[in-house]
Amino acid sequence: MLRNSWIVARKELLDHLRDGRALASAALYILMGPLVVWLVVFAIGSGGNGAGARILPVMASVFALVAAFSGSMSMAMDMIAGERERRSLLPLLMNSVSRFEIIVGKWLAASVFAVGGLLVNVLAFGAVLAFAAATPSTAASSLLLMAPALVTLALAAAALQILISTLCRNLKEANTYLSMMIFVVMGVGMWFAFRPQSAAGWWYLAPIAGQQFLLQRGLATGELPVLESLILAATTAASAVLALVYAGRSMRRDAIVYGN
Amino acid sequence: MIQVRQVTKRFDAFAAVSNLSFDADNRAITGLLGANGAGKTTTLRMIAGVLSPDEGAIHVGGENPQANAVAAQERLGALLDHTGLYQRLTARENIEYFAELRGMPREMRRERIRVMLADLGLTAVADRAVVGFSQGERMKVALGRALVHRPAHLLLDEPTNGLDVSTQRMLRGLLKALRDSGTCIVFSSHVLGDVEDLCDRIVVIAKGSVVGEGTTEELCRMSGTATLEGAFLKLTEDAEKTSC
Repeated sequence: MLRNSWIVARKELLDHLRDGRALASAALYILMGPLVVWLVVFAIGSGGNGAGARILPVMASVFALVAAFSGSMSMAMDMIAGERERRSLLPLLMNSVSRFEIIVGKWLAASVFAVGGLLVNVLAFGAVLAFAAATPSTAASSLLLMAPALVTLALAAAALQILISTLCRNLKEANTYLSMMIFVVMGVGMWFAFRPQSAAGWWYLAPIAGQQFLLQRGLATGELPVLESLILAATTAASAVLALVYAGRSMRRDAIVYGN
Repeated sequence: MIQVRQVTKRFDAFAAVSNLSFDADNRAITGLLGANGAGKTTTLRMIAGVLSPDEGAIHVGGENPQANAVAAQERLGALLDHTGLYQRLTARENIEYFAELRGMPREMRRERIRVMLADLGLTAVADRAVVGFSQGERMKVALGRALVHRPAHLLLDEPTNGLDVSTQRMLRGLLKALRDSGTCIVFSSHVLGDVEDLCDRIVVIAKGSVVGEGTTEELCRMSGTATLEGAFLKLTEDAEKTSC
């Protein structure tokens, strides 16, 4: 099964790495956060324990969440909704490959963009925050501890985007919903950034809210609860699997294949 | 061999195909002839395993595409209502992607693609992205993609639409050669010239049902007319009257 999914993933990567506009759009979304934080550093200063130093990790955590979702957005919407609109999905489904294998292949390719985008974003934030001396020296090692939860969030983001792209009738509809999703993620991130106490006790069970809590805490203090962050990675991975299974099942419906 | 038995497909209350049956033999080109909206494309999609009939059964080389789509599709090549190529990939990459999904080993598929590109007259443009291709070139690439794994059954939906005269001629020659080598070809069209020239057997469809079946001569005899055009009009008009 993985063989066919890998073939689909390789084709999608080759195809989308040639899509300069989609790559530029993803890069703008991903680097928007570090750029804004860099501007804030210059505008208000950040050294010591002032308001600037406290707000920067909060901003960085919200933008990092957005980056996990924006790296693969254009590609995921094009991979299914776009293909359906250009009528290249139907010939693909006539190959002797199961529809679930096709979904998994497309998800693998979208995940490369999602994880890659997140990595670029985190590295850019690392550089900006180090320059601003706004994080403790232990923040870098805490990022490694956060990695499972962050990477699984990017994988879940790609899965959710593939699901939405599958359910939408055309590219325009997919674009609408996936753009809205970015703002929902940003809204959830901001809510928990400014009201972290509202997630106390359950944050590690809730993807997005959990990663926001984890990022903010890690960047601000450099301390992380290891067990909870692993539980968060597991619940996030489970949500990715659910989204993929639902997308695979949806692909069996005539209306999904033809976009009616 | 492809067998279609009492197949019905409804879209909400509308029956696009109704109790339709026919056989398509190996080493023969079977033409589905019908007006726009007669149910030809829906029938081909069901044979290809991308649409499920509500009633009836289909067998492609003994496999039921609804029960086991992957097994039936292994023996099938199809070029349905649109070429559906990947614009940013080259002609070679488009064909190679499908060859790989069909499980062809690397060396075999590279050699097969090289020969196919030459046969289709695409060697000079093989490594160009298909985004700038003409309709004829796109059709040739799509055909290459459908044939790369040497399918025993081939489905074509109005393949001559939008093609220039020389490409149409090339396509006709290719289909006849495939037929002579044993391939079972089902070909849908509303262009009578194509059907008359290519098909060994013609299935006339109107309002989702078979209204006549046989060779051109048999259809003329059945309808009491002298030409395929006359036979087609008589059979479909009779079906219209019956349904009213």
